[in-house]
Amino acid sequence: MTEDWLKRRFPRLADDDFRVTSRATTVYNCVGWAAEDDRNWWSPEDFELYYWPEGAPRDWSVDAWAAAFATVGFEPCDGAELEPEYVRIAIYGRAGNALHAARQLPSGRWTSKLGKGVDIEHELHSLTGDTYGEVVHLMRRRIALS
Amino acid sequence: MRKEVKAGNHHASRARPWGKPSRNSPIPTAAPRLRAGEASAPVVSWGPVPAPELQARFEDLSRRWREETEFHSAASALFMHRAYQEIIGLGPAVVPLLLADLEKTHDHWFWALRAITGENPVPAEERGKVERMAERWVDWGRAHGLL
Repeated sequence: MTEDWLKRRFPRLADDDFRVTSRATTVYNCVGWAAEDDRNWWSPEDFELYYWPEGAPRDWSVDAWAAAFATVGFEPCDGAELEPEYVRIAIYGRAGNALHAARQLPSGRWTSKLGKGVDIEHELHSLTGDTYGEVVHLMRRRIALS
Repeated sequence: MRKEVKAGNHHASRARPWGKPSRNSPIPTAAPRLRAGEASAPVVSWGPVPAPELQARFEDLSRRWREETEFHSAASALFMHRAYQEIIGLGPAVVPLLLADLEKTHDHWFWALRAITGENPVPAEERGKVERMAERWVDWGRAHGLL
């Protein structure tokens, strides 16, 4: 997958100095990656195939995703500004349905796993558009002090 | 002696041909060639050496599925894609191809395999662990002489 291919699917990446940060893999998806889990494919459907946190609703609504992220310590927040003591996630979607999730990096930029494809580092709104919709929900989790 | 099975009455034969894992089982494998003027009844075949037509069809459908679902995370979006559904529709014949591709790519053929075979060799505690899930299916395929 080339960077040009990504720009065709996500036109706003053309104005972003984004970079590919991993090889493509089928092992984890955007939901797991946002939750800092790169060993599981998260998916809510009741196919008895994939991981989904116990207690979270089994659908693709933004509320169900927020509930899933809440099981690993995230809580809703308002802004996307960088707070050094928190890690933030953003849920992208359309018409109440979640389509993608990204996680904020300590630099203030964001990291995303693109489906079965690569991870990229990007600006928050560079992935908005036809494929993933808009940023519809933000959450944060306090970073554990070592 | 290998048997050939015509679509339309293959459900009886489709009753889990892998039910008794044995390399000596009479596993249907080759689609019969039609003579000129013969009705073109669709034919289903399966076995460790798939018919070339089936291989080409599978490669075309899987390429299209990969291209059009690359950025999806939803299992339902992956599995409900038209090409994926068509692959399921190829029936037991495609199982060896799915298993071989799964072994190589660890791609998400789990639902197709389960839908066609009625089996699920992945234990509940390994759900979501794609590499492990693939290994379970590959082991299942080997145990049934399909890889």
